[in-house]
Formats: sequence, structure tokens, C-alpha cells
Amino acid sequence: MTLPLLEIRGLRVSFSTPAGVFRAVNDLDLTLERGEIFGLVGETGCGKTVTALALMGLIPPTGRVAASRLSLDGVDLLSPRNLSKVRGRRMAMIFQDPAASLNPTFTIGQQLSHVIRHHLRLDSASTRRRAIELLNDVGLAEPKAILRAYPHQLSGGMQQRAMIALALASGADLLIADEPTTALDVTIQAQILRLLKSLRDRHGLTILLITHDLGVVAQTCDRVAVLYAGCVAETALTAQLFRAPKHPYTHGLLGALPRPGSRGKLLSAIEGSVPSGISATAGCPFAARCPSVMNRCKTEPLPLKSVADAHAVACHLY
Amino acid sequence: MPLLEVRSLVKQFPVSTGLFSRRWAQAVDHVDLTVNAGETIGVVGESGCGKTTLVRCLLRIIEPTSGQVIFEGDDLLGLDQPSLRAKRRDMAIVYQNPYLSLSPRLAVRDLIGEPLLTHTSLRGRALIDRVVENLEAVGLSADHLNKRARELSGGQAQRVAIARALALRPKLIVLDEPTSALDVSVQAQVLNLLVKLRAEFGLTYLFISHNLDVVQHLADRIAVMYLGRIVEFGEAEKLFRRAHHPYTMALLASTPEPDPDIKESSVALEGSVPSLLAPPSGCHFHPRCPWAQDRCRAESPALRVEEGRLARCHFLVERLPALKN
Repeated sequence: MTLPLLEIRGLRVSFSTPAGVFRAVNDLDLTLERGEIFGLVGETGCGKTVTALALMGLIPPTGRVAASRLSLDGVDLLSPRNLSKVRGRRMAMIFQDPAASLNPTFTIGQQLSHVIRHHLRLDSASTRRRAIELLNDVGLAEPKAILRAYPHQLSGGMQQRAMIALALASGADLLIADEPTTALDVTIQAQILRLLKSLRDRHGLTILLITHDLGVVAQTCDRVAVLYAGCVAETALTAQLFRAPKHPYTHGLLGALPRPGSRGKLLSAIEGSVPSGISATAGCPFAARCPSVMNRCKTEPLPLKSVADAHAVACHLY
Repeated sequence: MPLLEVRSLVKQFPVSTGLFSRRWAQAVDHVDLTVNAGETIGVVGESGCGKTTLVRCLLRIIEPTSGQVIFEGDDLLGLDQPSLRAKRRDMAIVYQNPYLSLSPRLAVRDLIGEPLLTHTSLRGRALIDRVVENLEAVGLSADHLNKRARELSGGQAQRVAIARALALRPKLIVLDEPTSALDVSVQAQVLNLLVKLRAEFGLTYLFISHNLDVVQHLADRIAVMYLGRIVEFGEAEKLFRRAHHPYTMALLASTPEPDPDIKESSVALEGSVPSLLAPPSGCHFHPRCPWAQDRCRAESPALRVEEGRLARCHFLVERLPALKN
């Protein structure tokens, strides 16, 4: 068996706040195979972005990161030396708001050549050739004009494409995309999602796609993990998760979606709201909102249990 | 008589293009809309299509450039301040982000009490009782009376905003992306609440959203806007089953279905929404339309009725047979 591209074992991230220690990520395990689009889905505060930031070593100093294993293609990311070698080169990240990620004072060309020169050490002619190639690759027409443009001169969709070109400039294997289409209109979102899929198909890029939108997951991802309160509640192939969801939280999320046919009916809302993450829970973090809660849910910790091939769930029901 | 009738409403904004030069952006471009009492109208479109500007003009939160807004027989645009104020009792609005729309300095009792103080003679105990009654209508309780917005969760804060809108028992409530800032599980709670309140108080909603799934859940009829114009208007169910306008088709196709068995449609749009300062000639949608022809570039199509639905497209009749399957 080949080594998975990304391996996360027992990741914990916590922040000290005046109110106490906030556990953003609690014992998270994830494995990404080469060339797959893996969706990390969950509601606000479930720890999906913090997981990505921890991978990139971007957790602010108030936060504490610990893991039993964190490796990219066998390289241990827990060592700061290794991390700085692969960050930006083998794995790159794009964010929700491309306008806030691009530097407004430099042209797209300057920003691209900066990255290309830093990572690949090319001369200026080859750098320019590579920059044009990258812009073509992300579907930006007239790349020469784009090179001269400042970020504000581009539309939101074009800015996100430019961000993706920047992220891929060094030939990264892993792209972490944190809500890459949330700030975009649906027709533009569809374009960017198509671009991500085509980059995977053409270059074998592995993508960790972070989103709150189950529609995006269904249409884009091969596998998915549903996060709740910093833990994986359920992980499965996308088709399995949507056809046969196991965890009551996944059931709740899918039932809460308005969709054609739901007109005039009540949606199955999940009552209550997400726990604060400051008070430690012994058992299942979803116990307080779960319709099928049992006594043991409140006390016994629950590991991910495999229920089918590639399908695991953290719930005492199984 | 419809509750609300909008006739040829126009709103232009000046945009400075240099030190002494300015141009006009036509954010709302001759919009006609009728809203019958008790029905829910959804207005959908992407950012910059004019949906928010439209509803703000309707309530005269901003002044429209021209047109008519007839609410229960009176043209709101011709009213003086005192009469407009009296009319406003019957109209309310709920915004996207409750933390921005609710004053951070007021407690819930004052947030909901304020419209009652302004428009009714309720004071003291009677006022508080009415406030609590409204809180209970939205699923909160007297325990929340002394909280401020920041002490509430997003869903609770939006419930307070709805209770405030509901306080005077208005006939029309404008909902401007009321669930867009909320997580799906909370969004479902708020949507359920809106359905319940509509039945309980016989409310009419004008519901603005960029999320088609949310709109179809609530709306009886839907207006689709593109660059300031309504491009399609009709019954929600029919519109979802078979869109007439190419833009509506593309919107529906672009919305990712939460079901991996439904494959993404091939009607994908290229390009992005053009600038309002330089809208395309003829049909605003022609640069992105896969069926565009010379006539679309030259001539702006009128809204016309076909199969009980309004759509703004030159080639609607020609394309309809192909849409049938």
C-alpha cells in the first residue's frame, strides 16, 4: 500500500481565553489519499479552519497544537524546520476572501514571480513563462493583461483564480481550500469548483476542501468528514454519507436543508446550539442536542467506529 | 386590490468617475411587481442585481428616482412624512445580520418595545406584556428581556429582530437575506419560525435571498433579477421545474444540489456579472447567454407572458419547445 499523502493522528488545538481553555480541535484523525478531493464540513466553530491552520503552522501564539502524528508524504510537519521546507512548496492554502489574501499594492505578475523565484529559482524570462502558464492553467483568459493588473481590477472570481495560481506556483501536491467559494456568487462558485476538479484531474492535485455547504460537498468531493465541536462525527465516501448517513448530527444537517420538495413542510431543525468548547465534555459533544441520546452518551468517550468500508462514525448507536 | 404594487420603479446612484465627472448606475431599472395579501414573493439574484436596493426603495429607506410604489391604494412616493410614518406601521424589515441591525446598547425589552412606544399608547406593564408576547411568538421567553444582542446566539438575535419587526403586527414584512448569516441547523429553525408566523398572523412576505433553495422553500412566486431588471417572474414551483429565462436556468444549474446522485448540469455560465456603469446593450444578459443572437445585442426585450409566467427574452417562444422535455 502506498503512503497516504496527508496523515493526521490525534490532532488537538486549544486556545487560552480569559474564560478558560477553548478546545477548538479534539483528537482529530484524518487521512488524505493522493489525488482526492476531501471535504471537511461543519458549522461555525466546529474546528474546520483551525485544523487547516494547524496543518500550515499558522495557529497564532495563543494557541497550542499537539498531535501524535502530522505528516505530509512522510515528512513530519510537527518539526518547524520540516514545516518551513514544505509549506508553500508542497502544500499551499487559499482562503475565503481572495481580495484580503492578495497584496493590493503589487500586480498579479509581481506577486506570482515573487513566489516562483522564491521556490523554483528561475531566471526572469522563465519566471514570466511559468507565470503565464499558471494563469492559463487556472482559466484566466489574456494572462498577459492579468500579469499587469492589480487585484482590485479583477472580479471576485478572477481574484480567486489568481489566488489558486499563486498557491500552485511552486507545484504543490496538496491544496487546502478554506471556503474558497463562500464569498462568490453561485454562477462564479460553479466555475471555481469546476476549476478545482479539473486541476485534480489534470495534475493529480490533492485538495482539502473546507466548506459549510453540503451542496458543494455533494458535487465536488470524493470523501468527506463531518466535524462537530472539534471532533470527526462521521467520515465516509461522499455518496455513502448522503445516501446512508449514520450519525444523528449528519441526519440533522441533511434534514435541515431546504430543497425542492420541502416547500410548505417543516424542516427538521436541530434544536439548541453548538456547545461553547470551553467546558470539557466527557462523552459525546452532540449528546445535549441529540434526538437519540442514551445515558452512556453523556459519560463514555467514543472513538470512530468503522461501520462499512471507508465509512466510520463516532456514535454509541453503532 | 394587491397589497403592494410597484410600477416602473427606477433607482439611479451617482458614481464619480473623476474629479468633476460622474455617471449614473441604474441599480433598479423599471421594475414592476405586484404582491397580493397573504402571499410570499421571493426575489433572487446575484450580488449587485439590485434586489436589496429594490426593497429599500419600496420602504423609502432610500428615495427612488422615479416610479410608483402603491401600498394599499396609496402611492408611498407621494406621501408626506407624517402620512408615511403612519403607513410604516404596516411594513417592517428584517436584515441579514442581527448584530448589525439591532442596537448593541439596547436590551431586548427596548429593542422590541421601541416600535410600540413610537406607534402605540402602550406604556409600563402593558408594554412589557406585549414585548413578552412577541418574544414568545418567536420562541424566546421573558428570560431574554434584559439581554443585549451580543449576549445572544446568532439564531436568538435574529429571532429578536423578527419579534421587533412583528411588534406592530404589520401587513408586510420584508426579509432581506434573513438566514444568510446563520448556520444550516439554525437557518432551519428560523425558516420554520417564518412559516409558523406567516400562518399565525396572516403575514405577507417579500423575501430577498441569493440562495435559491431557501427561496423556493418559502415563496409562492419568485422574481429573478439580473443587473437591475426582473428577467423572470412566476410561480415558484413552475419556475423551479422549468425555467424560461436562460439566466434562471443557469442560476438553477449553478446551485450545488446536496445530493451526489444529481449530477451537475452542463448549463454553466462563463464570465461574470457586468458593471452597472457600463451595462451591455440590448438584453443585459447577452454576453453570457449561450443562445444570444444579433437581435439580443441590439434590442432590449420586454417582459412578456408565456404559459402564465413573465420572462424577458426575445427567443422565448422559439426556445420553449426545446425546454419541454
